[in-house]
Amino acid sequence: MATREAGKKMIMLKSPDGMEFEVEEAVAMESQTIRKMIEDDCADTAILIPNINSKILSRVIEYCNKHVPTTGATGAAASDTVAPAALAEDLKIWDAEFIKVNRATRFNLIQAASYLNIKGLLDLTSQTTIDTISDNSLEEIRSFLSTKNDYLPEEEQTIRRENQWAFQ
Amino acid sequence: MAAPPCKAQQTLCHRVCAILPDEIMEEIFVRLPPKTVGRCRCLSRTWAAALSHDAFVDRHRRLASGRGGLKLFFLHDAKAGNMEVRSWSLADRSLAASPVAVFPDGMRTRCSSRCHGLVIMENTATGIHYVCNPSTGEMAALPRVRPHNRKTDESLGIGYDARSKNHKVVRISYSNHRGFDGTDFRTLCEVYEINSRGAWRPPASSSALGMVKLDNMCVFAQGHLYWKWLGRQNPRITSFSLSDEAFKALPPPPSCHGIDQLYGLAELGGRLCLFGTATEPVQQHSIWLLRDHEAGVWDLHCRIDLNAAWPLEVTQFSIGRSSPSPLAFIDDDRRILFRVYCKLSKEERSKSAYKLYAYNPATGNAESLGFLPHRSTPPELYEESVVSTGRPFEDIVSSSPSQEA
Repeated sequence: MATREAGKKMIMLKSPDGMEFEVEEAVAMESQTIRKMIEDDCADTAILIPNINSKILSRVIEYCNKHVPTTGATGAAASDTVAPAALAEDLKIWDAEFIKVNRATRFNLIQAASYLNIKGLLDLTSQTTIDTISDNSLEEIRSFLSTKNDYLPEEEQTIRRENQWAFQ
Repeated sequence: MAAPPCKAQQTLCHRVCAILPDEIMEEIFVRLPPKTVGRCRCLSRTWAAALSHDAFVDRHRRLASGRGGLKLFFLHDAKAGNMEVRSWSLADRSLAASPVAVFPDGMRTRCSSRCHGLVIMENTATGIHYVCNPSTGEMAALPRVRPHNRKTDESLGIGYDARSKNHKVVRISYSNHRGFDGTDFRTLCEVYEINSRGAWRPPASSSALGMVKLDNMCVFAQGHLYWKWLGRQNPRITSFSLSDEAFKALPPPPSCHGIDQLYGLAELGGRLCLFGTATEPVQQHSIWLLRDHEAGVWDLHCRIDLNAAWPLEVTQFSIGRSSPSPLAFIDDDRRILFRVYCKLSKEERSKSAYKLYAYNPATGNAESLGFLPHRSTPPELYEESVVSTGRPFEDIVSSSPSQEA
């Protein structure tokens, strides 16, 4: 098991483009993938995060830094002074600001959140796409997803009838 | 355009990769609201297959159940010619502004068993039963049983057979059977597999129920459906295994007398719950949980002093809609959510409605969480899912009454 040295234990994360990020263990463990590596003792030196470039990885770390629970050894002071409701409200505003990125970055973040298994980040980053799909017509969703309608007219009628409830 | 002779899977891969890899797309789709999933099944054949796949449906349901906290649903007769599915959220302690879905007028929740977001409803005008998904509004009629005597007592339950990965509806009914010594009845059991497009069939196991009347209240928990036996002799509970399709009698907890009148069944924390009033030595509401189905071992979860917890609302102790019924464990299992059917207020004595309470066994306090609208069916746990209600049984309306003797 990892031993706690003076103060906070730090973990080194490496992106494939050679950048290194030193983060607190508690922050890195917001990622269930990294948590598992640490718990299985596979994280002695630096952890290489494949497929996530430094630009995206730094944003992911930024998110984890903000969302790491403040009740632990790291920030007892913060939870003492700020009411939980106000804290949640603050996080919500911060999240809304965080997700103001272009589509390509957002998709990269979704991929990163999926690989690193960070549920909150995955919920946050996929919400915009969920809204797009929920609010548009079938034709618009098809064009958004670059999907071709391969139903024959009578097949489409049948599938529409079977899923009639979805259009009410 | 010369379309390459590729299979649908390749088309999807190619097309969707332009946006995101398949596995990432799935992360998004498992988070879609149920109705949106239904619409997206109409996008293309590949999407229909992917979004109807068991693994997808299962994952979608599991994710949805962890989102937004506990919710209840009920049918509300808004006097608008239909029945609205309304949802109530524990987090906000309030009703959602708009209905979740809408069912035709006359629909009523038929029994208390729920399974993966599916329930059974009855159209009171036609007597036809439906498998319904309240989170989507999807409904599929069950095949009508022989129309010989429409007003038979019957009890329907829905559950999941983990072995065959099928949802099954089980119907218990009674047929008159004239013996030499007068009229008798026979207890019949029939099984309907959802999506089989088939008919009611006898259960796979031939374990007979004999001459037993079962209560209407049916509960699905841990792979079994449960009913109470009616009748003062042999107070017990009957279980039906969805995979073996066999009945088994289950003795009630010790010292539980009169379970036919004074006790009800519910599902609580994934287990079978027997709750009701012991009159001796004092009037107390007990909550028992079935720990082990095979051994028939019960745990006493708590005893509630009814007069202290519900001083105004509880007027009778026999089991009916006015007795407090447990719905779920809340607040990290520290409290139990209850519903009680009671008068809205002293001023409106003619109106009754379901009131929700959070009861704390440690302190004995019941906190009121508010009323649900007047003219509503009993609230039940709401489960958002895209589990299919099965294909509707097409010829049920057109079939003419058979000329059975």
